[in-house]
Amino acid sequence: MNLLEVNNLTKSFDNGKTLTLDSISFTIESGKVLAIVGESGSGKTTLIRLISGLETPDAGHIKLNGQVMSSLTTMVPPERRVIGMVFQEYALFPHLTIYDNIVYGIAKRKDKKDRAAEVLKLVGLQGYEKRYPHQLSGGQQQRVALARAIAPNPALLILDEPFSNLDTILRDQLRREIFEIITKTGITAIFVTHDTEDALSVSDHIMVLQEGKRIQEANSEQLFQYPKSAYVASLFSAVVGFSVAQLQAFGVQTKDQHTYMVRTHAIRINETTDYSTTVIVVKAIFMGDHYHLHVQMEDQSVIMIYASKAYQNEIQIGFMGEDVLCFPV
Amino acid sequence: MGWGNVIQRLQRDTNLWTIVTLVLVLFIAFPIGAVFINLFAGPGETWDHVVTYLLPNYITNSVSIAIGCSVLTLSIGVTSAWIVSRYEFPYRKTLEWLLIVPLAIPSYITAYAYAGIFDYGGSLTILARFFDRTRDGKLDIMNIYGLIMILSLSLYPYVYVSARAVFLTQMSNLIEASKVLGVSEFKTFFKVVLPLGRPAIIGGLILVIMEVLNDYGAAKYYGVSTFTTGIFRSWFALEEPETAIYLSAILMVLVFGLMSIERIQRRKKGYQNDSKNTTTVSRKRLSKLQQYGLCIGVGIPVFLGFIIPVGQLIYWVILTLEDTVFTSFITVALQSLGIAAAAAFGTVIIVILLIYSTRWSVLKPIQRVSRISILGYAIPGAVIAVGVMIPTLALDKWLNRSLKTMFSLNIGLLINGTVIGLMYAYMVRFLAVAYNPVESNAIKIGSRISESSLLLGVNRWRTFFKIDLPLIQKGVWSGMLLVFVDIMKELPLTLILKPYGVTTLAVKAYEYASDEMIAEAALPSLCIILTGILPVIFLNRLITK
Repeated sequence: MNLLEVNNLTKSFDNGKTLTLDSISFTIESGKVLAIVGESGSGKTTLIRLISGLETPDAGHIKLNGQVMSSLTTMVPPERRVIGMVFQEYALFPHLTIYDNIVYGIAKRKDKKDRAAEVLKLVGLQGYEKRYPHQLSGGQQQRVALARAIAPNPALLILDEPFSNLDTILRDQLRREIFEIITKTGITAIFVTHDTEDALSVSDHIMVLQEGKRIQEANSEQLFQYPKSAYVASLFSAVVGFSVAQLQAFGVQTKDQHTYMVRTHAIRINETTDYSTTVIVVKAIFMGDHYHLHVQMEDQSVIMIYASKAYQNEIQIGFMGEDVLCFPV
Repeated sequence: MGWGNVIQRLQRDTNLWTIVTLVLVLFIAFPIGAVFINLFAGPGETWDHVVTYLLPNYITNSVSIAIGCSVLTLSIGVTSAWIVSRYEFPYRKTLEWLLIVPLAIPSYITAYAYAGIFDYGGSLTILARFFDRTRDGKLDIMNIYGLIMILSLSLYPYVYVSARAVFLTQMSNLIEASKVLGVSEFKTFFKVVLPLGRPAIIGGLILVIMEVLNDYGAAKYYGVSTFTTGIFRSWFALEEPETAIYLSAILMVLVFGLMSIERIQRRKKGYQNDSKNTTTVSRKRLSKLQQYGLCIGVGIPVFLGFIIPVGQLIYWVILTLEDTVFTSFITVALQSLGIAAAAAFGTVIIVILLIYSTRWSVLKPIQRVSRISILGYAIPGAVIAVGVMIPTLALDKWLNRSLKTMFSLNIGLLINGTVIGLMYAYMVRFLAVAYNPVESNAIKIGSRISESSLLLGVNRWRTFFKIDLPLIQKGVWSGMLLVFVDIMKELPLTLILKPYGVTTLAVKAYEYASDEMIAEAALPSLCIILTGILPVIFLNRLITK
């Protein structure tokens, strides 16, 4: 059953001057995790603010458990939607203890003590009840924010860029932990990020937003292998865009009105491939575990590829037929 | 999207808070609107007389005072701000905040003190005779030049505070960059510091000009006819309310013009030095002699603007203590404190309601509408008093008539000439004073925290009391304190609207001074200064933080 149903959702700001969301439709099944990926300004934050009821739509509707939450005529206030949210900046209540933060949303329940202990155990923060948010590290604050959001058993959990304020090592660890927790509780979740690595590692489905439009939605493998646009392709790994003239140098047959690209890691050096050409190495930059080679093609244009060592002078570069990504303009 | 969509959305998004915001804005903007509308109602009968004989004088005087004060406050304010933020010298830290202290003295009180000093038989005469028996030390300052000097001495801190804030927070890195490029101190000041600091400095200057236009007490005492004294004259002496209203309307249009100029200059030169510079300026050390020179130089405005007038007042208080301290004075002091406290409390409540109802209103354009309500601070107190007078008088008359016909009750005037009318006017005038600290506190907290609370299923009211209010406490207290002190100092508005039998300390000081009992005016004046010093220290802390 679909837990969330979003239909033709549209939102603009500045009296309609900037269209932030353009007729977005999608659904989430109960118990699934959906990642929404997009650059800043793609409308992803607006989308989740609409879902949680913090903004009102210009058109379209949102249904949760079959009930209309937002539409042109209805607007259920956020406090009655039972949606849990973990904000990018955590938004913990600075003047309340960790315990009071967590029971804040369940203050009326009789088993609030047990529930608080349960969620604190889930996020691994037993014994921190009496501390204040500012006494915790960034990662710990993030866990409290998660515990607070899931304490009232929300129907839907939304995580807005939850790891963007953390450093890389902590980020990897927390990413793993948080999604273990989400899987354990079986909660339905929307996870918003600009980091595709985050999205790939944690969710069943990924939806790509660009300039307020839903570009593609699929599972991670499909998105990687069959991207619908150059933008989606470039999201998941570095790509080299080729002009028609450049491709012809490789011996590829090209069509009009199409753009072509090859993932950088798919370009082979001095190997037998379906298509290949000879180039001159202009510059090799040492990047630690690999080199960035700037190579000059026949028509004097320069492209950048990865290499395992600092090649010099003339080399042969090429790629296989199935590695060519082709999109209509 | 058609009109149907727009109307449906308007219907959906209009909530209780939209209406609350609109009602509050109307409530606050009403007197201003009332004055404005009277621009079109036409002036009274004596208007021709006023235009021929008085208006040119009002205009020349007001403009001359504004220009004179601008020049003087700019020179005093900017120079001292530059010195304290750029050089190291003995007692720098103390002088840095002492330079703000003259703000604690309302300008009419500084005016009384100096009048006493320069008068026949005043302190200067006594001092002069002490040294040289042949001189009488008389210097007439009861004229427009004296007034400009007095107003500048008490208002320069507005320029000083805004200039110093820019010099301290924004410019140290640019100054260093300029110095590294080998540019002289002098050139750095005129090429980098002054152009960059201009928007902020002019912002401070506009406050000075608004205070100048607002002044009644000092101008009246020094016998200089200005717009504001003109309003009083037509209201009380000529008994020509229409003329007073018309003058008010013109003055208000002038003030709005001034505000637009300020906005435009800010927009045109919207430089922003985005590098958040938290490192403190490394101050230059000069030779010991030069250092003492700077110390004395910066000390002069403090000496003239604070120490001398306060010294004179203390001297008078000692002279007159037996005659002035009796129970009626204590009643006046308590009345003054009570009214100021109650109005400050009311103002803050309205401010909080306004800020949060705007925030909770889903309709976005309402945010622009709500900003209208903070215009009151720019408008001279006398104009607001007139603006409160017009509609409340009409409302009272209507209430009276209806109650009389319906229940044959005779209740007299309910709002006009009562404490309610006075407090209403205070709220209109000082709303912005409380609005700024509360709003900046609320912005600092951000809306995410209260949104988290909503999403945890807690409604707006509980969210407000459990989350927002505890977090904006500081802003609320400082807003309340600032309004409280402003009300304690306020004179022109209080003079027009105070109910019969109610006196504030400011009015008491004014009455003594008008009755040629200037020494007796010292005690209420000193009390006002004492309440005023607290927040000056507080304000200084906020800026340096």
